Amino acid sequence: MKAHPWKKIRFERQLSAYLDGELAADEADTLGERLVFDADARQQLRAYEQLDALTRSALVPAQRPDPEAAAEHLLQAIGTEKAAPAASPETSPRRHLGPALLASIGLLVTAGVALAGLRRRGLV
Amino acid sequence: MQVHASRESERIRRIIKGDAEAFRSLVREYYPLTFDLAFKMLGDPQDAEEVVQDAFVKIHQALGSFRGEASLKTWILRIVMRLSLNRRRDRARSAWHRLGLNRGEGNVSREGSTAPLPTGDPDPEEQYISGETRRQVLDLVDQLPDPLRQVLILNSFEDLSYEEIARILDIPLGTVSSRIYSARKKLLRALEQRDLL
Repeated sequence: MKAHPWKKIRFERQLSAYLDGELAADEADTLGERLVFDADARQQLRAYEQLDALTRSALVPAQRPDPEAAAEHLLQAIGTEKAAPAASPETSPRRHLGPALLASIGLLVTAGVALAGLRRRGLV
Repeated sequence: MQVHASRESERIRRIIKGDAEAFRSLVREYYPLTFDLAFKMLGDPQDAEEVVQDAFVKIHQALGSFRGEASLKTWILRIVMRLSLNRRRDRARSAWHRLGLNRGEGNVSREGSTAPLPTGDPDPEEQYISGETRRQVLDLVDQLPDPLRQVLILNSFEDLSYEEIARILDIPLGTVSSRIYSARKKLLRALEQRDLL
């Protein structure tokens, strides 16, 4: 007799979590018992185990950089980065140029309007 | 656990204050894990190294905003994961990678190099499969939809629980479980079709 597809999917999903040690204790016990008597379930579990071994082994890097050297390199880079803003003085005046220019324009416009008003009244 | 957490927060406090030795110890501790994650995501040691270096610079800058809601390890892996995804996206746009021209000398893993690890004995897993099988398995992993590939890669770290994977990817716990199952099922089918399993 064949299991309903959704039951099969649920079981396989449980099996996958069981392999990762992520099933709740009671579920793991029930599944463990089933594995004793169910050869298909055992075969499925073995297939997942082989798959994991194969993918883990394929994904392992052949070489890893030395963490000590990497730390040294990073400390130098971070030190340089911290020093960088102080070493480039031309960046800060530029940042203040915008507001200063706007303030000057504002003053000129106000003075112009005031002068025009005084002229209209014949005071200048 | 609590002792570890207080030691961790003490180290963070020292790093923020500018203690280079504390930062050095953080890099030493997390570099192997972060490099492995970036490498598994990108399949290229040079790209992985750049991403990890970039990640540690960002970690150094952002450590002050670390609130400790997740563990430091989860937080660091989240950053590496995000940067790896960005790099992968940028690479997909590059003609060099689209044409497969990147698979040169530097790509040690995909070319099936058996170069030993610089320290200690080679990992036994390393010798489990031949170069050609490794290339095919990596291609199949690479072809998985992104959400499935990400959980499969994170699950390949034995010390990462589903809960940690959920936090790193910011997805529900149930989604992690179902995606890992789907990834296994898809990959199993593909490997069987190629007689690799």
